[in-house]
Amino acid sequence: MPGASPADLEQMPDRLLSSRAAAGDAGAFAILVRRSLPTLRGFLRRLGAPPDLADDLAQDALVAAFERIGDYRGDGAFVAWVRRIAARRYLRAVQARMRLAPLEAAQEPSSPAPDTGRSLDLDAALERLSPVQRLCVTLQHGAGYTSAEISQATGLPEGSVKSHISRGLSRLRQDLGSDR
Amino acid sequence: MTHTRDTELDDFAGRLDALFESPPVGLESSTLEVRVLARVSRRQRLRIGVLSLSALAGFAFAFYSLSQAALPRVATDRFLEGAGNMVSQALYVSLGSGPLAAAATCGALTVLALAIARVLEEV
Repeated sequence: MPGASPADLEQMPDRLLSSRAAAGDAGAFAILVRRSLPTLRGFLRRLGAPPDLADDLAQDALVAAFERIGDYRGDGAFVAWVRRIAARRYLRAVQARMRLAPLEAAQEPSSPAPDTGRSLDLDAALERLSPVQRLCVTLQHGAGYTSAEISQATGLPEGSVKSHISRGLSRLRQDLGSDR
Repeated sequence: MTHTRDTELDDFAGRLDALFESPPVGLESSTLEVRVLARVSRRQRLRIGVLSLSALAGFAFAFYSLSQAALPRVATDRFLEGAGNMVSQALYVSLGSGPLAAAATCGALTVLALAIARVLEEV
């Protein structure tokens, strides 16, 4: 489909769009950006990034993805691949900040959401976790990192990572309710 | 008891994966999309500019080296005509493979041109 219309592009799977983008088709990459940007912004916020930083990192991740789009093999969603790029960039930003304040020192959120006794949505529930629990849980369940990968990326011992995830999951399970 | 609790947590972890996959609401932003695409477009233009400049510099250097060789006039004319085609072809192909390939091709062509010029000079 050499001269595909915008409507045709909208219907194409990520793998085909990325092949076209690699060949210089700006329209194909625009569709990939539209499909992945909201998820990417949400993912970065769930990791704990403030909205401005989340937007900057989402842009950086998509530009980086374009530059090495040939590395995307199409065996999963494009956004899943870009999420890992975004996660690496966020971790670099966090590590720079950690020189000033170690991640594990911040145990509880500064302003916990009020406990209304009702089920919360995922974003509200994540805000009730400590920053390190939130980071570990989101890396594992939002970007598919293993405990070992999180340990390597954050510099935390793997045992601590597992413990943060386990405590985070227990808390989320309680806050999200059993109906979710 | 502990086993039951672990199983429940595992089930919940599976459901959590699905929750993370669900697209967040209200985070669409056409302004951000435009910004990303503008940055990508700038990068592409910059890359093409750098490639073109490095190819031009390599080509000019190779051509200058050839023209400086003390060759018999007829041989020079014929050789330059053929070499010009060959060089432009090689550059055209290598440009598609990135700046390093283009630079390497320019360098290799220069060395090749100098070597051929020396051989012709000796003849």
